Amino acid sequence: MPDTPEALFAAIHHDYPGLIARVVQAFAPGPGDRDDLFQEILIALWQAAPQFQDRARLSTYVYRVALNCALNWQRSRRRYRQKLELFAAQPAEAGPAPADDPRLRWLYARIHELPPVDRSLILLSLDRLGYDAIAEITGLSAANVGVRLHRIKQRLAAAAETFDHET
Amino acid sequence: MKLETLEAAWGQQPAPAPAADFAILRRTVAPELRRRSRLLAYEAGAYLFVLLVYPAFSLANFRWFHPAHALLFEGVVALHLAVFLALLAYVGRRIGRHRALRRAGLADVRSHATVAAAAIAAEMRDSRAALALAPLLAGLALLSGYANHAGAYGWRLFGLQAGVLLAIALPVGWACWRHYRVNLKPGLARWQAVLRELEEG
Repeated sequence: MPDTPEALFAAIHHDYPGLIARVVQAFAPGPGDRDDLFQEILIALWQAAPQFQDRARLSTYVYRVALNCALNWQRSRRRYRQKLELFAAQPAEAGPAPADDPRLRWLYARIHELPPVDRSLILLSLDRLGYDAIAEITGLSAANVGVRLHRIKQRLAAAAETFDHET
Repeated sequence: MKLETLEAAWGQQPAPAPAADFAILRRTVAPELRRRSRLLAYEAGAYLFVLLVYPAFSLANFRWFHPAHALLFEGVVALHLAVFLALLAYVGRRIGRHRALRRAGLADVRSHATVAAAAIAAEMRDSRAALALAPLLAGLALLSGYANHAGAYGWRLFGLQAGVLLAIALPVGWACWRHYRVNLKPGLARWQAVLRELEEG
């Protein structure tokens, strides 16, 4: 494991850009919003890095910080404008681009319609985390995670049947 | 389309390339971090200023001005002491909440939501208390001015004091009220919705 907070942050950013991008896309629909939330999560991870102790897998830790940040995130027009200016100067670190695949765009749109906790659960499940890991991240029991995910997936499966008609 | 197909597409989505140069990443995050540190330092500085200036002004007031009424003087001293202790308690609570929130950012979603909702609810209580106490504090300042100055310097100074007090209290009160309405109330509603959702079976 990296031995300094800065190295840890660099490792997180290098190893988990996809994880951060998926959280951002699930919680922030618009392009400006994505930049805003992306930067919020980077800042939260930067600030959290010194407190990280090797008590959990790094990915679990990144999910916790990113989801807490996403749940706390609220678009603010003033801050949003300031950050757009900042990102205009730093184009290499703008937020993730929307998915090219129409199936993924559709899936993100359905995920975004879910309430925040369900959104977090399906996001973690789609990233193939087990019930125990999801329980550790959310604070729910593993059994509760299973029940909720079953319900969410049923709803998504029913909606997915209409996908061909919509596209 | 089947959900399994969508799950497979999800697994195959390309991850964005990380910044090739860590220096670029640092430059992206550092200005915002500096801005936040600056805001925090301003807030801490403002509290420190108030905590130092309030007793200093109170002591100077009692040392150099002779009260018109001895009983009034003792009452004003007791009220100033109470206000100072309340300020001290408020600053202590605010520091505690800030630290708890920083720690909770690393915790699981339920713990974080609980701490965040409690912190906002406490800040709302403090704001309501401050707004409710504002007339009392203004009254105390005017009473203090009346007790010490009115006899010696006349009503003109007293009127000036009242004017300065209003010029400070009205914008500060408006800013507090706006923060309460625009940030705190929706923030609490958001976290309460998350907590309700977590409690549902």
